[in-house]
Amino acid sequence: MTQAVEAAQGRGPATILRALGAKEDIWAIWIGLSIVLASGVLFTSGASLRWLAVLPPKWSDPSQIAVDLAQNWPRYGAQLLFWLAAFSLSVTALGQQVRRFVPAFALLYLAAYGIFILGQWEGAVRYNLEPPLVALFAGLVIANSVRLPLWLTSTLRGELYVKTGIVLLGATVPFSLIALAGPIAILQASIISIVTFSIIFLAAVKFGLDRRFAATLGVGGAVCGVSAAIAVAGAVGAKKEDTSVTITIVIVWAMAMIFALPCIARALSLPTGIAGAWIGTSEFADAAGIAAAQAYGGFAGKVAGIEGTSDQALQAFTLMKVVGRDVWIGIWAVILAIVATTRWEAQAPGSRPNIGEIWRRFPKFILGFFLASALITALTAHYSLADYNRAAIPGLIAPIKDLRSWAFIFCFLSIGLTTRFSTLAAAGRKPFAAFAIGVAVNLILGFILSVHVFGSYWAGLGQ
Amino acid sequence: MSLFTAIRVLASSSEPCAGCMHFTIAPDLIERELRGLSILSSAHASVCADDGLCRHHDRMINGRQRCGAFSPATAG
Repeated sequence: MTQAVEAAQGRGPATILRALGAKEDIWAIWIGLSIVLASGVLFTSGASLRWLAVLPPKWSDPSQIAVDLAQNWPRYGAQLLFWLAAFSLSVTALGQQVRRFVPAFALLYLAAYGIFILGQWEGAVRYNLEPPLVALFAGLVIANSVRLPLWLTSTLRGELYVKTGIVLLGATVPFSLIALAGPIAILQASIISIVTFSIIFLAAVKFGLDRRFAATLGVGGAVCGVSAAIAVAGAVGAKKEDTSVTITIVIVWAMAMIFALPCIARALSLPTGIAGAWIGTSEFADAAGIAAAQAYGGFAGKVAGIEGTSDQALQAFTLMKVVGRDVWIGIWAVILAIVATTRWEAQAPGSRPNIGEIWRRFPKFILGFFLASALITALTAHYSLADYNRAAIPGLIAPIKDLRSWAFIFCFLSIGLTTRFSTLAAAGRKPFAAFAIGVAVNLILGFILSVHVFGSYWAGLGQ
Repeated sequence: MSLFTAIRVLASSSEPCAGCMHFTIAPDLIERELRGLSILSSAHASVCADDGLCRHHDRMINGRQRCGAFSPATAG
């Protein structure tokens, strides 16, 4: 069966497309940078990508939505075709059937449109209807109430959508900000990663769990959730069942944190930059953290007592999580593989350390984030602040930002719709307890670092 | 563990698992076997490098060191 799958992947147009990239990260870069480049070319020639980057308007009366749809349906149609073309190429290259993907994605787009309509309602903030949280919650309710048909689940590639969104996010973060904030983010991330990993690993070993399982759990909590767990599982040769249990535990905690972190931060009236940094320190997956950070950023200017801008929450989160924590996945994998091979009993067959894995496991979509930032920064370097605000933001950056919002909503819906708790591996008490201890330490230490140690820095991020 | 040991381990070579009937790197199959993987990550992600699933040992491995159970895929 495996050979059949691999053989099927090796013929036809998919082979040509795979030459452009056999990993999701590369396709996220292609799509994201194509949008950024198109926006840049149009802007410099006096036009704008705005026509394609349509969003439902703010509304208080449903008739406003009807009017918008009557006026702008060609733009929505063109945008749907654009996303369909971009993601169809990607999933074909990744070995999936485009025939299934097309109708399923059209439905996902309609659902995302519905989420935007709800989020643009003037009463949305009053009822905590932040689009990322609504998308996730609605997806969770549906996925755990009815069984979705297989053809529909083919479109739920949350990781592809979130990576595309993060590349687009790079276009809204000045490169100077990355250069200035990067070292602080890396310092804070290093402290939290080493402490959290040590706590979970030691607790798991104390509870009698296998060291390879303990290491997989540890990086799941300390570095980058499921992605780090799967990377280290392969590097050290963890058992399949242990890897599945780690995935379950990370998902359960990540889901809880998506809703808990913005609520706690709101109760404490944390400025958006600080809350973003805390979420970046204490959430376990990029997609989950972006949902939480974007939801909290949505409170800016709408909820009394919350200072900062919506961009600050996302920027602080991205600097902490993506720049600070994700880049270390390969290094953790190689170090733990060396330790596993030389120090741990009962060497697992099949895995062996290799220094090249630092690069092979590097989350390459981060390069797209950096490139998008560098491109837009170079393009706008000669602008005065007044011209930047007057021309570059609405004509160049805002369309990219709006397309980014679509990509993130596709992601949040995908996460919710694929999370069927009953199908996850059952997690035992010991691994759950070891992870929970790490979560508790991570939350407290992350709060102290984000609020008290580096608080003034994160609160003034980019100002 | 000394630095010398680490360098020695990194520098040594071994036969890979590629071509073994027990070893698969097919992302769709890995996502089916590791329940929940595609919710917050993906077997198509760069972080997975060339990892695969060994169905003989029931482990995730990077496939860089074949074991005594190696069986050429064509034999089956």
